[in-house]
Amino acid sequence: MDNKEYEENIKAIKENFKLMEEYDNKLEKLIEEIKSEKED
Amino acid sequence: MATDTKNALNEEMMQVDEKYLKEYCGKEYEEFMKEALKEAEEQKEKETKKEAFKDLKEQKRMEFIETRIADDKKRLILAAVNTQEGFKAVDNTKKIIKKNLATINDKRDETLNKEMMKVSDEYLKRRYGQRYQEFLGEGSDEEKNERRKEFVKTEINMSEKLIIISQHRNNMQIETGDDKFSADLSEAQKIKTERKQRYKKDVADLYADYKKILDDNEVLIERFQKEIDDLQANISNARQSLIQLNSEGASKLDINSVGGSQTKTKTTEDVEKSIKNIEENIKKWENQMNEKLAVLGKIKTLQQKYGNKLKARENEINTLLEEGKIFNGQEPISETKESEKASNKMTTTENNLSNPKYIAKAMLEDFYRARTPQQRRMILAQCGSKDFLYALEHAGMINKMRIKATLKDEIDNMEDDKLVIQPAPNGVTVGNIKNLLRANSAQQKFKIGKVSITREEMQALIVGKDDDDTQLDLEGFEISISKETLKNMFSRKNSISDKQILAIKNEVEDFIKNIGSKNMDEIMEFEDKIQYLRYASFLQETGFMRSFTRFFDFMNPKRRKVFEIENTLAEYASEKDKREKNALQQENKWRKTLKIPARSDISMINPEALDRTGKDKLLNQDYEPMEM
Repeated sequence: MDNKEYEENIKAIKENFKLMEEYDNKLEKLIEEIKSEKED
Repeated sequence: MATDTKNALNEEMMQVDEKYLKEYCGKEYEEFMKEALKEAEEQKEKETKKEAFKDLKEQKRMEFIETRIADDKKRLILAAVNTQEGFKAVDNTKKIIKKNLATINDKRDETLNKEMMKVSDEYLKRRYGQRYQEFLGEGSDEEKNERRKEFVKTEINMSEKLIIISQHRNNMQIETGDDKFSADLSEAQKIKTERKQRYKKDVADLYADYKKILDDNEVLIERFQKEIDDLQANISNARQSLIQLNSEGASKLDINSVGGSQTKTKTTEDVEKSIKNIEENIKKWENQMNEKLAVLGKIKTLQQKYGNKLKARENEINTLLEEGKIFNGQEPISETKESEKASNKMTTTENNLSNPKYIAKAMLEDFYRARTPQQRRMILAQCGSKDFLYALEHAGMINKMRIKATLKDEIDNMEDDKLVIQPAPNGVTVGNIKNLLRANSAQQKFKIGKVSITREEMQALIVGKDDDDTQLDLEGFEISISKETLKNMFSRKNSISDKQILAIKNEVEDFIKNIGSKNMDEIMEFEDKIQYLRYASFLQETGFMRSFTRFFDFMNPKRRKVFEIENTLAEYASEKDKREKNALQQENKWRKTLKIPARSDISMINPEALDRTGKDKLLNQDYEPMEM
């Protein structure tokens, strides 16, 4: 892996962490909303 | 990378909206396209060139994707695009769901309340007694109707409404599928179901994407780990070479070299240089490795953190599934559990039903221990006779005495002083009577409708009436049975006539024949009418020696006739029981539609006859016979 590839790899990993954070927040919100809904 | 995978990646990138390419590749993309389409741009307005321009643009876009974007970046772009599009879908769902949420339960309640308004005022008065009357208060019919609507809306819960509505369906409505209400209820629930399915899809999609990113990252981290492993291997190899160089020394190298003494000197220098180079490399690689190890450590910690977070979300989703808040397949898990629970409870109750004495004792214990005097009155007035006769038949002496006293009180408190049985409805003509008399010349008594008429009475009816089509007025033939006669009809001192016995029997049998088409008000009216009979027959069964005396009653023709009425009442109770089972079946279908647990609390003493305002918790419990 050359330096450029290495940089790209790290960048991709960091981007994925960012995305995971977004997904986690989105999923958390959605779950909270479903939980708080009253059936009747 | 395999060509197929690479092509698939490029194809996927071609599906991405151009705005994302501009967003993630910025100026590079825009300049590339500008340059590539420069000449074609000038001609694109021409009609003939429009399609060609479009094709060229596509071609150039593919070229850019293939040549200018690294595969890792393509994956990043795709993941980001997928995230944005996925989140948009979730936001969109939320908008739709929010809109539905405001109306969804209203629509269901509206359907229930509309159907409840078809229930008679009389029924509500009986069921809710004083509370209902007080709620209605004084005022015009219109005002009362409004308050009735309010009562239905606010004072009766959903479960209760289902019970009442199901009780008001007659068999014909159920059998012939006259079921607009069920359809409306399903329609209202459909939106709710769709909503839950939509939730499920959104949750599942978000979870799957989240997991995919975590897994993809794992691959990238492994690649990073491999980079460090390679560095480690390089360092090890270099160290090995150093050891080799140091131990074998320059002389060893001479042997392997070609040349004379000059070669030896050069070789020594080379070795020293090599050692120096190798040492420098080792140092450089070690530094790089340490840096990368530190980064890898942080990355692994973060990866672990998101792995844990994902696991926690998965648990939360499973809880939602278990609670039936989102669907797992077609059915919510919770409903399956409820029905299993109900089925288990039913089995337990059924097992206890095998011992009649046990049940009878439990029923009557329940009757006296758990019910207020007012409730007892309501049970006696409305419960299925079959249940009660069953309990009485198997009751012990003490309970029989208690129930006897209660029944006597009830009979004394009854307001009506007689039972009036009307003969047949209109339709009997002079011709009908003539034919009957002619065809049965030796017969002295005839049955017209519900009453028995003698030959003389029949002849008197048609005297002076020549037109065979003339309809006869049978009003004068009504049978009236006084309170005193009714009270004693099952006793040995009864004064009831054969004619009266036959009229009563016919009245009940006629109602049984048509019970399928009767509405709740007609049933209540009929039960009011035969209340004396029911109480009197119950009372008869409270005798200590009843099982013994029943044999002698059977031997006595008059007594046998009286007790045929009791059998007819038992038959009525059995038909009513069937009707109630149908109603319960219907009610449970609606409960299934509304995704609420089925009702399993079918008490032997009819709980529907009681006030279910929620104050008396016992009324909502399953029937649990007491220990002997």
